[in-house]
Amino acid sequence: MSSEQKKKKKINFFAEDTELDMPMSQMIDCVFLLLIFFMSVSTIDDARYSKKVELPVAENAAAEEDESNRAVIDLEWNESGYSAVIRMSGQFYFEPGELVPLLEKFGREHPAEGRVVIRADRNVPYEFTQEIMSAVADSNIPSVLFSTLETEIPASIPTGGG
Amino acid sequence: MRVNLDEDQKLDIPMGPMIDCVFLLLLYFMVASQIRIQEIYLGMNLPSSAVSEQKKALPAELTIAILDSGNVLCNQLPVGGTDDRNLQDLRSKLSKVIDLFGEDQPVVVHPQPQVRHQRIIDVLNACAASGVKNLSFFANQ
Repeated sequence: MSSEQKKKKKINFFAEDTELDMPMSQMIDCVFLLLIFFMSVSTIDDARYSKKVELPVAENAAAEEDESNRAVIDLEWNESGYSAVIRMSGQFYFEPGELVPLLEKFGREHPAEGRVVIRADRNVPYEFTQEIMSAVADSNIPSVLFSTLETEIPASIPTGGG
Repeated sequence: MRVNLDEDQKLDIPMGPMIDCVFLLLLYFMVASQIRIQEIYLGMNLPSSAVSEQKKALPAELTIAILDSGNVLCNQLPVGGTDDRNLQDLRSKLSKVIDLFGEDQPVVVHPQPQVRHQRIIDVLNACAASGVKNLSFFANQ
């Protein structure tokens, strides 16, 4: 049998009265499962946290389930300009002293359980971090938490920040 | 109330629009989702006048200095070089001190101004691994 004859030969798998249907129910099952998966794993991303901050790595830090009663201060770092940008509640600040009224207000609203989280870039020099800590101390908040990562994140993974 | 349908009438749920909605929702969640990396925290007491006075009364305060070069000194003795991220010498020294004096042993971290944040976190990480609970920063007067 030549190759042309092979091509022309038509194989009928189905009888003439057989209907060729897509198996919709299984597909819908899969789609529903995917939908439920994405709905359950998704959390509303807190846009107040800066995604430009490259957090330091510390494997012995502790996780915290309760993310309420926290004031988060982002400290972005610009290596070329040797400058840091302070961000809190979505607002940018250029002087750490500007944070004091905000932190004092936060301290009054959360007198016992309020915590300040500093999300400082891993390359920020201590002189900048120290100014932030001084502002927190001036606001009569006795302790801070430094935000870290447990392991290094591969560059290929797009992250949603904290 | 019972609805009598004609024999040739079929009661079908309109699946087509529902599947459209489900696909749209699925696409929305797939596109909008990003991997959220869990952040973990290292706690630290802040220097204040009250804390500083209390610390001065304690005789066995341990000071960890971090130099601009990244070298780490514990009570002026070198315990970690620039490339030593794990700071094993510091960890073993702190563990011994904590075993002797308990976890209330005050430890003061004193970084120089140019020290990068990652290096400070390395030291705090070593302190956390050694069980140090009473940790604070040096207060500049």
